Amino acid sequence: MRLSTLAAGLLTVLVAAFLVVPALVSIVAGVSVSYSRGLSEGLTLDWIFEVWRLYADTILRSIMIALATLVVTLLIGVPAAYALVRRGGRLARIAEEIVTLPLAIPGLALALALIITYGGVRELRVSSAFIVIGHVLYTLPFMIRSVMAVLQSFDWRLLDDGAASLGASPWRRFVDIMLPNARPGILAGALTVVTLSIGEFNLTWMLHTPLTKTLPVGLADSYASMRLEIASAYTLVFFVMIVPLLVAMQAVARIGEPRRTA
Amino acid sequence: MTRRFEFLLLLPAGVFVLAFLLVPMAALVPVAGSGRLGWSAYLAVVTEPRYRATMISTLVVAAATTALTLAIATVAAQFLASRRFPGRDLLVAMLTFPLAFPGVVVGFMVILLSGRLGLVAQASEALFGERIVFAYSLGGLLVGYLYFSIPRVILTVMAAVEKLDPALVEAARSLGAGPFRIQRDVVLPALAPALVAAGALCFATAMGAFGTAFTLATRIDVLPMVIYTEFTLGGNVAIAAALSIALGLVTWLALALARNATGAVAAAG
Amino acid sequence: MTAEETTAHGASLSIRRAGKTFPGGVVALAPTDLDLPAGEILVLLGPSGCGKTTLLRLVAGLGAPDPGGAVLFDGVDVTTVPIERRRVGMVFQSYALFPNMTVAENVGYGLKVRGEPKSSRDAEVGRLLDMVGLAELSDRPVDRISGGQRQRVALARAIAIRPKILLLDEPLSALDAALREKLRIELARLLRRFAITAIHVTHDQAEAMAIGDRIAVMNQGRIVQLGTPEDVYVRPADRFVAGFVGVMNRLPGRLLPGCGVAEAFFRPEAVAVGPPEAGSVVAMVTAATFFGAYRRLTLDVAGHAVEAEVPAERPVRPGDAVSLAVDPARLHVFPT
Ligand SMILES: Nc1ncnc2c1ncn2[C@@H]1O[C@H](COP(=O)(O)OP(=O)(O)OP(=O)(O)O)[C@@H](O)[C@H]1O
Ligand SMILES: [Mg+2]
Repeated sequence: MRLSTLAAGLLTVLVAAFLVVPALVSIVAGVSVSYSRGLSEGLTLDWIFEVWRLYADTILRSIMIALATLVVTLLIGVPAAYALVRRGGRLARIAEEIVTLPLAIPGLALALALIITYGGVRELRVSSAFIVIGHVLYTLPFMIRSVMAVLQSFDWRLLDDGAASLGASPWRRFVDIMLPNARPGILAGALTVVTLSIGEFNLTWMLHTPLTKTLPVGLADSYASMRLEIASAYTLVFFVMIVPLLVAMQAVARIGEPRRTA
Repeated sequence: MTRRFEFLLLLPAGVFVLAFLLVPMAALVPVAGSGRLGWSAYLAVVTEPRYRATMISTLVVAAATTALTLAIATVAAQFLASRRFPGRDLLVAMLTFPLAFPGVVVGFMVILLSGRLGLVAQASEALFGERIVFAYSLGGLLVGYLYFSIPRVILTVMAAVEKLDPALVEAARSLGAGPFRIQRDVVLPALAPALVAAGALCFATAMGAFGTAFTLATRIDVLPMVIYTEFTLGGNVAIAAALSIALGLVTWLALALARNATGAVAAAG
Repeated sequence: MTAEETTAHGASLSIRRAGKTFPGGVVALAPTDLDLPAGEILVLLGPSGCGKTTLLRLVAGLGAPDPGGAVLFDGVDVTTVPIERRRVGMVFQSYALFPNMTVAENVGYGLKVRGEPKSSRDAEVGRLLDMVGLAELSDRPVDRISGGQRQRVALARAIAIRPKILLLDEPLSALDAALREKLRIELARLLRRFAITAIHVTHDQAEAMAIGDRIAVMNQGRIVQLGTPEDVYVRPADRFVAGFVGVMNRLPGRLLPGCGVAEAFFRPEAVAVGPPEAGSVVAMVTAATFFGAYRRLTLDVAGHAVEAEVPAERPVRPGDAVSLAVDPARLHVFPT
């Protein structure tokens, strides 16, 4: 083997270790009796129970917020994606640019803008809906792009014309033809939205109140004020939630390769 | 008829974006001018030494993150893309699993690695009798941003490497070019669009990242942290708004430039 | 919309000064008039880019004609009626079958949209699939059937809504040559059986001859000749039609005294080949190909290649000198 290849391989393995080792340490710490005294003290699930006792509400709230975010992005994002693909041209590109702006603007700035504008509306400010709004803002571009990408991967106009020639109204065509054929993109978008929403911190930290803490907010809280074992166990709970979503996301990306029109 | 249909499809998203993106962003502009400094708050990023230093160190960390990440990803992606060996899939999985970790979790990973009780501290104590701790400095932040960026960038670069025509490299080799020449003359030019797009994304994300710095806390002055402290602790909404606008402009500009250069669509996480 | 609205033969079609200019100024179709009686099958024949699809889409309602143009079904102006309310059956070049539906669901979709109850819908779908010979495949997803089968699903689906007019845009062009030839005959038979007003687009003249009651030959956005297959073949209206339809010889005008600058067109079967004799046009055989029923000769006439046909039993060989004469009734002269 060439020396350069060997060096590249070594670097790759080292980088992989750099990414994995801290996560493993955290997992082990989360189930060890004592982190500082090492594994010799034995394993325990006590920390996990402790996390549940302290932070169950944040975990459940994060799940609820993720689902609410998903519902909103599906309802407003999927039709918008179809409209943008249908419309095409410069106007649609400008509209897409605006909708995807939250990808280019740091979450902190977005959150600040939301608080300045709507922070005075007390009912909104103190409810989880405020966080959902932030999350929709941030995840909507992913849903829209994912759906646009599948629509563009098959000849949607041909299918649309075909259904129109059979007498289907535009809405009917949207429901009967576009939605089923865009399913891989919708699914991929949905997984991305849920994954991002569960992990979102930048916006959420600014938007949350003591009564609307989410999982990442709780994590930050535990990192600052709890013993390492509890922080680790909490992180472990987060891994357990997020890793299956990631695996599913990659699996969908693989099977969702562009389908041909028949 | 079809115009109206398209309008109705776009309407809900349009209303949402108008109400919760465009109006708030517009509201930020006058707020920034309403503080003690008036409209010169906008210039504070440049004129006030403290903010200028923050802006510079944020740019430096983001640029360093981008450069290192691109270098690592280019090497690793080529190593992984060009060969099949046992354990390859595992290696790819290891390199990409932190993909959706939020900044706070990444910060915690950095603490476990290089914090007071971290692996580096333990190892260095065993070896040299001295605890090396760098989690809570700009160095720690850089490590965190690398942790965060490598998985994303590797995925993009790997996809680009897989599209590379192997005949290109073989042709260069047949002409007698060595590995470094091949990289410089053949591979990197071919990967350039993907590297620019991924790099811009990486840069914009690092500029705006907040969770990692927040977790590592204490003495790190980067722009998002300063915005946060000005807003919550200092109650200085105007400066926070002005700095937010400056930050947003920088990240947006980085992405827009990259897109103009490559024609590709980029998105910061 | 129910069955009693339709006659068995579909609607008559009139096109009045319908043209199409695309943004950017491309005139894809010059203002065109066309009348099609109910039940007739018209073929639009012409080279790529001549405007066939454009004309078809105007009839379908997939695009509005330039101002001043009109499309009428049974004398009723439908110019502003969108496609979904025009009741036209369309068979697309790449079929446009819905990948999310089975063969039967595709065929039944138009009826479902019209709110037809499932039982009568299923019966109709079954009948149509029988007719096109696909009864066994009814539950297959459409991406798991062959190209020829897809073509027939597309046809059955278009027919299912009992369209006023059936529109077929190069429905055979996605198939390989052998299958195309087979399906051409089958399609002609099915269309006759449906006895429905139809417009069939192709750039294949053999297909046009096999399928059309009449053929409209198009060139550069205009209909240049409209007539029966025989008209178009025997009496081409101009140089373009003469050159586009069938094998055609062309000789420049100086061979024909008194005609000035012109070009003479004639088909290989209009050439009489005999032994060389004084006073006649003499030619040299450069190639002879045996075709079973006849022998196709390529002759050199004063430097011009001319195709001729002789009975297969005539032993003509390359290098032979022959005389030739063209039947004046089958000679077409067009000024250049
Ligand atoms: N949407 C469009 N915008 C601009 N020009 C168009 C458009 N559609 C078609 N044209 C042009 O109009 C002309 C006629 O196109 P049309 O599709 O009708 O040709 P056709 O006879 O069907 O050709 P083919 O046999 O290749 O399908 C062509 O020059 C084409 O480039
Ligand atoms: Mg066409």
